[in-house]
Amino acid sequence: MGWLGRRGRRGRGCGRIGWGCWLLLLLGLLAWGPGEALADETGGGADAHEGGASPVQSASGELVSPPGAEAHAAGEPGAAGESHGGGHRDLGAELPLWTVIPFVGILLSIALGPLLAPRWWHHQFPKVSAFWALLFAIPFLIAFRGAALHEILHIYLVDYIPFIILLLALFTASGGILLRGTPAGTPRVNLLILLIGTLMASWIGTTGAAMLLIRPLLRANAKRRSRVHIVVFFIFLVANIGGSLTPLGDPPLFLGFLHHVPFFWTFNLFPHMAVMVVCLLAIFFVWDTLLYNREKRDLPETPYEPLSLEGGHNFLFLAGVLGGVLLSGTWRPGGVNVLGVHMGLQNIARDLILLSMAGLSLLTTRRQTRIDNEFTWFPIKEVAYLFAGIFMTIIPALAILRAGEQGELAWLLESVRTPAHYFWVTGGLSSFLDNAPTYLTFFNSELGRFCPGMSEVEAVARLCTEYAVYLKAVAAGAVFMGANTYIGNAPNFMVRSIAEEGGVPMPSFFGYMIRFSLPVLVPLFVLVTWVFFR
Amino acid sequence: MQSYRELVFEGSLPVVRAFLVGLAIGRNWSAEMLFCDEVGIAAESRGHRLLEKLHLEKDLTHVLVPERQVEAVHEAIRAARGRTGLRLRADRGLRGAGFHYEFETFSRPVAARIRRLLAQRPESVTVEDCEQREEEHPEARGAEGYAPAHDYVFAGCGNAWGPFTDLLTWHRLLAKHEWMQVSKIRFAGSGRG
Repeated sequence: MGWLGRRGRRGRGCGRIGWGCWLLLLLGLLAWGPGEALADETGGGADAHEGGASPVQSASGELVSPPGAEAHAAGEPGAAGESHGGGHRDLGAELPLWTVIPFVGILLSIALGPLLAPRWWHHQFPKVSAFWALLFAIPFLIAFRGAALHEILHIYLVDYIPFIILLLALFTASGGILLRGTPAGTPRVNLLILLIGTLMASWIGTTGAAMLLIRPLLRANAKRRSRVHIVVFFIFLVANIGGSLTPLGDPPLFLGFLHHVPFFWTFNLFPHMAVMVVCLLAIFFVWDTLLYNREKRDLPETPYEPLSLEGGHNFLFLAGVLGGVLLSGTWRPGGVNVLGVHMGLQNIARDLILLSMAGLSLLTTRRQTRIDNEFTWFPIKEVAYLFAGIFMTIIPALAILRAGEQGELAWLLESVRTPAHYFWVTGGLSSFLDNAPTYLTFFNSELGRFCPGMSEVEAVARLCTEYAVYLKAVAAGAVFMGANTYIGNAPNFMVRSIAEEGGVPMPSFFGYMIRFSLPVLVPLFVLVTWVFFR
Repeated sequence: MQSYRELVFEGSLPVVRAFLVGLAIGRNWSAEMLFCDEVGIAAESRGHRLLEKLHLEKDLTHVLVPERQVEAVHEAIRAARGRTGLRLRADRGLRGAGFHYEFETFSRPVAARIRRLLAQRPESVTVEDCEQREEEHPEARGAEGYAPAHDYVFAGCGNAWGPFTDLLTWHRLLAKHEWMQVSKIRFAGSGRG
């Protein structure tokens, strides 16, 4: 059966129930009928449709049009809705704070499940995700009917599906590239591998860069006695901080891109990233050299094998992914309504291009290359299941934050005020919760605070210029501080697993923090705060 | 087999080392003296270490000296006391010693190497409270980002006891590997004279 078959059998038990829950939910939504429900909520029923479109504001603030609103559908979502229609309903001002409990619950489950009950979590996480999602979705739909349905459809069509498609495309294409050979495990070679991985991470994703380089790095250092620090610095640089330059690098930045942050805006994080990378590489080189000199005389001769690249044509598909994402940021061909949600044609084109790149990568890459890469679909299934729950449960948090002072999280907006606050609060939460939803939460809190009542397109444009330092603080906090713990960013666990299966005794959850992230990363974050976010 | 006695000096490690190395060169001794701090032997309690740091207790340096050289060391200390300030506080016989080890690996090749290391235990060394478990979970094969689990686990622990020299040899062998956690060697209380 090969790798596809193996993975298929493995995930079937838990997957069937997980998908079953989602299927049930989707059927329920479709049976309800988005058009009818929206008509009810916008107050006009059939008349409202006939009388012309009333834009409905989503939780994320984007103005979208109900089904049948042709004039609106032809324009840009944000630009088209300068004025709110008469049927507008601001859910953020109505939702009570306790509706974010499922969001907190799913994030805590993701954080604690792997630590407290890893085997149980490994098998049951799809059900846990479905549980939290339904816990929010069912009462939400009963209470808010059409508006709730619209919010759910909106976040799945505009955020979740493109998010999963991007990760799928990057994962599939980078998973077809295999580096063979054994470089020498000297401090200089290790430094070079870390530097290359850091530079690649922004273009092929932190997961792709980490999966491409971790095995050659482990092979290079197979005979070294001290290898833990090498893997930990790899997590710091390649699996996290290196991904801060483009939306392809790290999922939080792609979510920002989906919400109208320009693709190249994230280049503004280059100085912040450069400070971190230069300092970390310098610390690593000194650390590795000291240990290498101590153990050098006892090291057996390792046969050096030159590196060779297999499946290198997948870089073309990665370039295609980059092209598709860039296209969606520059091309404005108009849009269509899908189940009542306005979607730009450029975004649909992007998703199709990305899926094509993934498909071409699968078709053109030798099966043996993927087997040797230990490529499996499980990481993508994890993301698909868990983010289905995250995106469902994040709806009230985003809506309340977008409501600004009208929402029940006004106190949060009041207490998080300076760029340094945003950097540390986003970063601190990103260390223990997944950094993508954390980014989205504080991104929306900035929109609610600085640009209340504006369409998302206008608000984000303003945030990227007038309040750029605040957005940089949120982006840098989410990306950089994902390195603070194993659970801060998905590739951290993947690198740890591969290193442990390669015989490296990686530190425990708290050992990682006490031995590495607190003494190495936190002082550098203080430095970044002092230089950029004072 | 080399047998040792534990000599406890009042004086810092560099001074004691300089004195003993000079003595060994002058007498042309080839047998190795072992400085406890350097070979992973827990000779002092943490409380005593703390008092040393606070200068509330004199520095103590524990050295394992081959039995046939002990008398000569005594003589040299007596002869040089006025000039070096060194003083011998205790001279203890060693009968037995022990250490704790534990390991956990998710790599089959490493598990095979651990088995070979455990099999290299000297006959005179015994292992108590030995535990080992090996698990296979084929459904967990591959690297996971959010629900990590290993498809193979080999873990275990034990307390090794035996004559000091043999125990030290095995301790050194195990401590070379980063995936093997070994405690410091502790001397058996009943064996200290």
